[in-house]
Amino acid sequence: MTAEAPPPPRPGRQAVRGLARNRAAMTALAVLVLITLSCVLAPLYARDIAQTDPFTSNVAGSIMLDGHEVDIMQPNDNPLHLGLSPIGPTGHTAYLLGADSQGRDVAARMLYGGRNSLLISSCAAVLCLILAASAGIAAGFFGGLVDAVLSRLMDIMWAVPVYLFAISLSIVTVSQGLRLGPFVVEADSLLIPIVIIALVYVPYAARPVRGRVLALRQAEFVTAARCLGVPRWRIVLFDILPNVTTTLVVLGPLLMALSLLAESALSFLSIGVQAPAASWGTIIQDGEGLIYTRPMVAIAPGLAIVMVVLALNILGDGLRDALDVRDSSRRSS
Amino acid sequence: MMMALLRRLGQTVFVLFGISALVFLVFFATPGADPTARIAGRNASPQTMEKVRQEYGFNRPLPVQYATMMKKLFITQDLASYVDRGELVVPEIARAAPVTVSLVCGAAIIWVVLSITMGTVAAAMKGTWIDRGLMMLGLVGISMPVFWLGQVTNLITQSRYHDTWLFSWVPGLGYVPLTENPWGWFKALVIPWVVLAIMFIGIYSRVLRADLVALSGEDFMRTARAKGLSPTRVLLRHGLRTSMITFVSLFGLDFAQLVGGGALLTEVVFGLPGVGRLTYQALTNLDLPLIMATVMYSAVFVVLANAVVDILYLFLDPRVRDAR
Amino acid sequence: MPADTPRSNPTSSAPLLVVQDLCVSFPSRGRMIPIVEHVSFTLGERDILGLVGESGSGKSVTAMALMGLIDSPGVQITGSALFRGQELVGLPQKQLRRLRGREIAMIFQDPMTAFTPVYTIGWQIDEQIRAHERLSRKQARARTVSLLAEMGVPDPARTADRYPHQLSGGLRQRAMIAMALSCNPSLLIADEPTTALDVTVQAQILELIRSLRSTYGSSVLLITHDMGVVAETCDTTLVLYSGRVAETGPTEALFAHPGHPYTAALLASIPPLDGPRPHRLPAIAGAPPAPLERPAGCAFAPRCTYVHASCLPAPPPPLVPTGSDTMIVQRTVTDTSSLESVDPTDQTRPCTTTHNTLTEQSFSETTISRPTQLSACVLPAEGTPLPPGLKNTVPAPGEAVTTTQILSPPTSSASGGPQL
Repeated sequence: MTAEAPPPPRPGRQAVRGLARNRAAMTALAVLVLITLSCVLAPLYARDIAQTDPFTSNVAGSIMLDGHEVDIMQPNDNPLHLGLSPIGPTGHTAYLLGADSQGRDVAARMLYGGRNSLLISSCAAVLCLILAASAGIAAGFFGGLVDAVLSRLMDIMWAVPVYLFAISLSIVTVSQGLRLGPFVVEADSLLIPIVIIALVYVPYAARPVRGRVLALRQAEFVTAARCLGVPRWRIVLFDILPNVTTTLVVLGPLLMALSLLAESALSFLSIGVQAPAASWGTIIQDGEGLIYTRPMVAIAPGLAIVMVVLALNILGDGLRDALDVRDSSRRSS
Repeated sequence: MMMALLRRLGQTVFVLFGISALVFLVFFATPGADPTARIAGRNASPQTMEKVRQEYGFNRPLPVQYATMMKKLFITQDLASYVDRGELVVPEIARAAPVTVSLVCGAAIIWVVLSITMGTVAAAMKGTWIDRGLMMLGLVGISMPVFWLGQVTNLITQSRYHDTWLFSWVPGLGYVPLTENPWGWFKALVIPWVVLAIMFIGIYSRVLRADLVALSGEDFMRTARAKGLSPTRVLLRHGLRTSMITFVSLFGLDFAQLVGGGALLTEVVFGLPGVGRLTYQALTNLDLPLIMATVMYSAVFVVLANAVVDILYLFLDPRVRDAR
Repeated sequence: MPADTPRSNPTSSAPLLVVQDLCVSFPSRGRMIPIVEHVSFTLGERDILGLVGESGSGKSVTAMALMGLIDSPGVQITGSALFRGQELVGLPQKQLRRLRGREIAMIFQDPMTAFTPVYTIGWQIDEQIRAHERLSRKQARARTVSLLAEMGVPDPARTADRYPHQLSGGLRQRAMIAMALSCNPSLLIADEPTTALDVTVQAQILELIRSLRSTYGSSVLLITHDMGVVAETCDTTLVLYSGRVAETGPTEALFAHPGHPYTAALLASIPPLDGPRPHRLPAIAGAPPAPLERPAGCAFAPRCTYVHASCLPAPPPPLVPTGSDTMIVQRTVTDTSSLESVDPTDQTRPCTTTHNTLTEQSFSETTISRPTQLSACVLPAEGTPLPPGLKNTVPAPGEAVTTTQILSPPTSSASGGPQL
């Protein structure tokens, strides 16, 4: 076998070029950019296109459609016309996707909700990566007691089902917020779901980092650095960390996908983003009661989640293919 | 072998202790409000508050509180819900458990069978459009929030297409005990099974395919081919059998987590009165003792299940048998 | 197993395996990368042929191509490999599978990883036997145990019930050989069978392989990078360099009179056991070229001390028989006609036209090297007539090589090539 030593990971330009050649990953990236951009422009849409305020209840209101004035809450279709249902998708700029049970514009709320969902999931992913990298590097590099303690802690956290763990953390913070000495985090702060989701997924990300560091510690260039008397912190910073970044970069999109799913689940259980703020999860929950009459309220944000998570997963796959040196050298012989 | 088992047992006990401590700390030592008020529920009278404080020993040091809590959970099992008029928590969980077990077992069978099929077929046809299609399908499955998927299935099977021949057999949401009516049990659960299994089919088929593809570069796979075995035999007897080691350990963890309450979202959407839905109800009326009990029991269950998986591992992988 | 099981072998003198112009190229980024180029050799019955070369020279790929084990998408295998008259290149997988393990068996480099870790050794040998012969489990196991015993495995019945990781490297390699021999194959391909083993175990395994031809009547294609292993084991040797044949011939002749500078350099880098120790052990400067950067002419040219202008242009120089004084005279009696028909010293003859006839005719008996235009590259043996017009460029034996006579090699070897 032509067992050549694997080339050193060059995460830079080569990976970018590899990724750029991956059509699926580029499509996914385009979808992500498009969705993020439209969510960022949510206020513009609400003010200038839909011309509604998606945060105030509008049960008694009405809108103009094709010159007719139409009530937002309409009598049900059943023979007795009992009860009211919010207006369905109108096909117009106003209430494009219809209204929710409080008469708010679902399309505008979805864009605003997307802002929160994307913000929470990306921040949670980044925070999780930072925590996991610190824990993984500490455990993998220092070994011994540090490794034992951290690994056991990860084992323990890993044993609690992710959602139950998040629920436990949420329920103690959701009613009163968090008080850490001078720091007060309000109960409706986005920081709470961010920290909770990041914490919950730390074991998930720390394991591969630790494994990578363990492998790197055996690598000859680290041994060489040690023999040269390079201080430990320099080895960690300049020899270990750059080599771990590949692992972190690949984990990033996947973690964000997981975080987005977790965020929507927590919000669906009404322990994530708190009203009147929206996220895709809360809108799906709003739509739960309307699922048989106005299914679009729940379907649309769900589709948004599916699209973003799918794009993130494809992007993560693409990054892994572009960065993973092991895969590219496997074709030897 | 005996040593390995003993070591594993010691580890399990340690993790059990760690988990109970962790859960306890999350519920009672989070900086913020007084745990008394949390347990007593909203708008509790001062008498109730005082009673709770006495019962849980909140005026005493943390280790004593921890011991009290563990005793109430696992030994006397008299932990009671204050919100729900003193309903005992542990029997409540015991009543809900069969529902969750029914749900998760059925889903597990579906996802194991389908993911092995999909992963193996995709690996065998690596690079073809069948492979790409199956893996894309898996990715879509992973990307769907299960509660949303559940709602959409409900919309289709309960409302929009309920009157067509395809879904007219679907009963209303809810659970039918297996002992009462096996056929009804099956009908009530088959759609939740599929919905719960979809995400895992995606994960497992992708993991299995990646594993099989990585294995195909291994020396022993080349040896197997050089022996003149048929490609099917090489893939199944040598590749798949070796991949099963990873598969089983992954499966054990997920299965345990689901039975331990991870199927909460599915149970909520399909109105199945299992452990997860119990947690959800406790969540909506902030019934802290109940949530803590479910989390604690599920964690214990997960840890024990992991120990079982590790012992299973000893039988699956001869290398591990001797290593310890 | 008895060696003399009757096999369809009409003409025992006919070579077992004739490889002609074997080329293997792998696609990468839209280009085909030639890993093995125009490799030809012949392996007779009960012969041991050594395939020598550094890592990446295409030894293993050659073997894998013969076994039909290369299944990377888009791989191109051309040329011909006749095994008992049956063409292996392009043979459908189904028929190849019937040959694999039964007629052609393979031993791999690393016995640590070559067994499936989750089955016992015995199970895996039984599996191969039962894949090719209609035998019951019990019969297969009986044969497995007797094979293991013949391979010198102590307590074979119990060893058969052990898992690969429970055995030592040497035992595992013995089990591997037992498995390869389980269906009594006529050709055994051993891919660096001793590289991963201890030196003492290496010697035992080599001894075992050498004994196979008498006990089992097997021919062996031994792949190695160890000149010592070749010298000890092989009847014929073929030196591969960067995917091309550099030189081939009977081992003794090749070791005594290396024709190609590469062979000579390889031999020179073996420390002598007796005599004065060299001041410095000669090494070949530089590294073999990557397949895509392979020079158009002689692949070794950039590292060769004897490089000459005629080595450099494409196409790569053909194989030519070289006279290793007495050796060639003695051995090419039957081939004189062919030798006469192609004058090896004829500089004007286009390489491509002479190539095939030469390699075909004079393979097994003549030392063949792949020089550039013969005399410029081949180390001249005493008495070899030098081609006209080249007299000045070829250093006579013992004569110092001066820069005016030889093109200064490219930078990679500028620091000073091996002093041959």
